[in-house]
Amino acid sequence: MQIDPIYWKVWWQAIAEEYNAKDLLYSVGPDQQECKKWLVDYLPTRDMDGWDNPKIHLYGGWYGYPLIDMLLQKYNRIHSIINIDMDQKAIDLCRRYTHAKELNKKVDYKCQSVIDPIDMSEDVRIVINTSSEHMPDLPEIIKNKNYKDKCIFMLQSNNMEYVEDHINCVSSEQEFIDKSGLSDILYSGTHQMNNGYERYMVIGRR
Amino acid sequence: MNIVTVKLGDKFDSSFVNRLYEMCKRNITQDFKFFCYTDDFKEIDPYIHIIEHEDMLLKPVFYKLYLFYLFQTGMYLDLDVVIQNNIDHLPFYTKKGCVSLIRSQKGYNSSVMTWDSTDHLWEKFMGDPEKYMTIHKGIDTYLEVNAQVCHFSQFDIYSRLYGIYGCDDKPIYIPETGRHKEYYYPNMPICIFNSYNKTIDVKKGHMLDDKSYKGFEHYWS
Repeated sequence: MQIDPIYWKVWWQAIAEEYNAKDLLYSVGPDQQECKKWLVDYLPTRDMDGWDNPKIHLYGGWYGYPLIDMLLQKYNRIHSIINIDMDQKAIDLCRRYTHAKELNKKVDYKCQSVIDPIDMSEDVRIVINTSSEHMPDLPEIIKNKNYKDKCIFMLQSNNMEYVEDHINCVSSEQEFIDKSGLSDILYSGTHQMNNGYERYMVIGRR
Repeated sequence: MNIVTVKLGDKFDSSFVNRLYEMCKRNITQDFKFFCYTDDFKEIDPYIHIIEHEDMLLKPVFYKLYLFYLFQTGMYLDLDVVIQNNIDHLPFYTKKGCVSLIRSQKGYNSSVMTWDSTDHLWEKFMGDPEKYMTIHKGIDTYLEVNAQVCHFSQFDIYSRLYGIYGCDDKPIYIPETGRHKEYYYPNMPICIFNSYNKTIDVKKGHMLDDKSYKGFEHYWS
């Protein structure tokens, strides 16, 4: 058995500061890994080869890791990833991971609601949201942001309505497509989770 | 826009040409002319323009390069592809002097091509066809070495056998069925059927055959 020493170090400190140990474990659990891997498998790496300095916005990315690791492992030419999450403690942990991994030049983080305007001075080519069930539909989130038409949105949601924080679940892949407001759907799929519920993914452009 | 396909020999019958034309009509909104370069035009839809095959003693696969000479700009489609959604945008990937291709798991794939002013590729090939036909098994590697290549998006064209290139990227053999997993992405514009009706490899199992088109019939019928 092997645990990444950086994860171990970050968790050790976090637990000492009364972060919820179960949450930390859940963030790297099999379900989380599987869903993140599903997204990373469909990262448009071939298309990204033709882009200058690909930049990514990560909505509601929570601690940011392990997804950020997985993204960079799949495609190390990613220029920057910004994790935007309103949970200050989650962003603090993201910052610690980032420092420990010496990824400060690539990874940034903002503690704010994704509904609020975001600094759009950079040409963001990919927006990732693996927690759509926690927030309003994409059209509502991006109405005050000027992403270009070519920007690719990679979204995941699920039908786990019983979870208290899940304010915007969907019950099917088609419903998720419809609610995404994306007109150019590049990919969509359904993933059966181990707990019997379904996770949905939609990739597309406006 | 010029859309071209090639039918040489008896691997495909005229129904493949006619159904490809039908799929183009459904999925291209701008004006286009549909051409078929062939040695046998019987039963081909009368609205398809026929270019009669001229025997230049080449291996059949290399006649695709001749299209660069015949048409300054164009879109080529293999007879076995299925067009699922609109493909109006595919020519826009192509810059002058370039050929647009699919980046497959191991290089380029020419099942779908668009080009603009690339007759030099034919001329170079015809400068010493024996040499190029010895070096290159097909035109994919010839183009890789000799052409200025643009790429289609990986979400424009997927393979029934390999899935989305760069995402799935591999054939998956299913021992229980004795067949390979057959990928299907309804939102994507084109599905290519590479390895269609290629020899059955005992170790790898069956690749793609007519059964692989099951469920796709509504795209042309």
